[in-house]
Amino acid sequence: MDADILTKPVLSIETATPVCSVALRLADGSIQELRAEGKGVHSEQTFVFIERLLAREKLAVADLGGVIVSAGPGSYTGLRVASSAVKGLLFQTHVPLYACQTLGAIALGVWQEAGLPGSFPGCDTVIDARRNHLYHQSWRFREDGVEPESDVTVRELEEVMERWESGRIVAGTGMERLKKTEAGVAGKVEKPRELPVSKVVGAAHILSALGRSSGEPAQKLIKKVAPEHFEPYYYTGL
Amino acid sequence: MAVLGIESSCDETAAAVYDGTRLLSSVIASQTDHIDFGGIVPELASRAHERVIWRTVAKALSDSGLGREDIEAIAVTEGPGLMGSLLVGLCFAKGLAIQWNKPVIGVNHIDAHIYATYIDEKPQLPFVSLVVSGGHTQIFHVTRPLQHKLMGQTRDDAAGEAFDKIGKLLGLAYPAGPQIDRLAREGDPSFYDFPRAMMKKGLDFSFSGLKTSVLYYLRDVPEQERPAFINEHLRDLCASISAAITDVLIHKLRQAVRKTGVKSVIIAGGVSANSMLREKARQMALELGASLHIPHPKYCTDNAAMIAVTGWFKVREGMFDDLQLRPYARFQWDRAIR
Repeated sequence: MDADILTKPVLSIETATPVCSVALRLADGSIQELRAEGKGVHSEQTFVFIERLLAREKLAVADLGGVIVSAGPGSYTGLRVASSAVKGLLFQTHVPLYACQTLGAIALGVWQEAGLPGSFPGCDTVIDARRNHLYHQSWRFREDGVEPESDVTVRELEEVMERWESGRIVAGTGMERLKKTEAGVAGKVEKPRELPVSKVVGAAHILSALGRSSGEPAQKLIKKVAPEHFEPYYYTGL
Repeated sequence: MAVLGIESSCDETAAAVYDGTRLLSSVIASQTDHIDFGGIVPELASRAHERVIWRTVAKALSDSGLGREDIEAIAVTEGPGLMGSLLVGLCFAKGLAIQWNKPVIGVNHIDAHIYATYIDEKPQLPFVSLVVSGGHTQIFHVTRPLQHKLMGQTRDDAAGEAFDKIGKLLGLAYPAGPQIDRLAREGDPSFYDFPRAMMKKGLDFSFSGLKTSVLYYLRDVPEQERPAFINEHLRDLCASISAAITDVLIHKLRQAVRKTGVKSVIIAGGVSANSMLREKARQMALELGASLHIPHPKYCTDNAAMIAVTGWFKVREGMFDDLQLRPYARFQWDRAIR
């Protein structure tokens, strides 16, 4: 990561899930976020949010120390919005682009909410993968951030449900699907282990985690990429 | 003042710069990913757009010799088209609009086909325009730039779609339209009298029945003899099919010209490259005493030059959009110019 990402204003974009969120971290560390939730809002609101946040601080794109994009897996449409947006936003500029794998971005949100030393060893993060499936990844909490315990996989709802029932923290936008399973509806799992989407999914969480977790785990999660050649993590290759 | 145009509605990623008097650049990156599938695969198309949009726009700007300070607005195809493909161009354009602090203009793809003629000439107004491609078959009455009325359209398949689907029945590779045109030139159009649909029903079109008719015609040939039959009569079949499609198109176009009394006729869209259609249109224009305008073949298929030109007309009229501009897959009257 370039030093500018910690000293200059940084924009972060999350569109891989039903959450459409844009956040701006200023040089003083303060973070502003604009967010909306729902189907079909991303192609409109992402740009309105970017313009509004930059205008509010009288910033131009060239003033940024970097743009961080939530790179998937997730909704193909959402990923496409962000991928194309950052290409236009950074077209022929020197502002660097960073990609943060989305399940990792959610894990960073969970770590900030629940990852107090000794409280929980880690978490599972989930994103809706349609039909009976979730994108899933397991994470271990460290003092300075999170590190993956498993690769990204597509799992059936029941498999993830078993992990939730075993006492793991499971978080992410895939939770809505889990809650609709038979066990979820029966309320088998205790509420304290459920972290609301608003607490763990969003562009602001990536930025605040970056501030707190600038060591090795963050370096592994947030990678510098060439905007011209950036392709989201669609998971299914074509 | 110049306009940057961006097009990504289907399987061509394109960018162009137009300054109101001449086209300064036009770049098209065509996708070859779909040939093995016999048609456009939407997800493949979207990902291909993502891979090349940066370098396509960069080349269009570089070829134009202009910089961002010379660009007044960014015009982009907003629909109709494939949603994923449209999103790539639209989101790139909106991101660029924020960075450059320039307005964005959504352009209806069909409107752009109508105004593609203005790239090379200034047709006499008012005129009637037939837009005919793989996705569209529509007739418009244009009274002045940005003011036009839909007179008729297809109720099912577009003419270009009919060519491609029938070509598949004949064993031709996708896209079959240009191959049918080439083969038809050496065939007998009277070999078989395929039906001409809706000839007495206003200015709307229907081409799905023709496809079924060809299917039934070929099914009547014993299965083991069919490949040899198609092989032996391929040129005549292509000519007969082309005759059926172009007869309908010209019949409706003639009716539209007579109804409006215009003296200029424009044919645009990918199918306007069809040689039988061009010849029949030339004869029709002669007979009606009208001038015929067909854009250069490179501006008949999907391109960004027509988006930049239409965007330029919209800049002149102060018709800008905001960052909430969103794509639409199907033709929408409330987003088309009237």
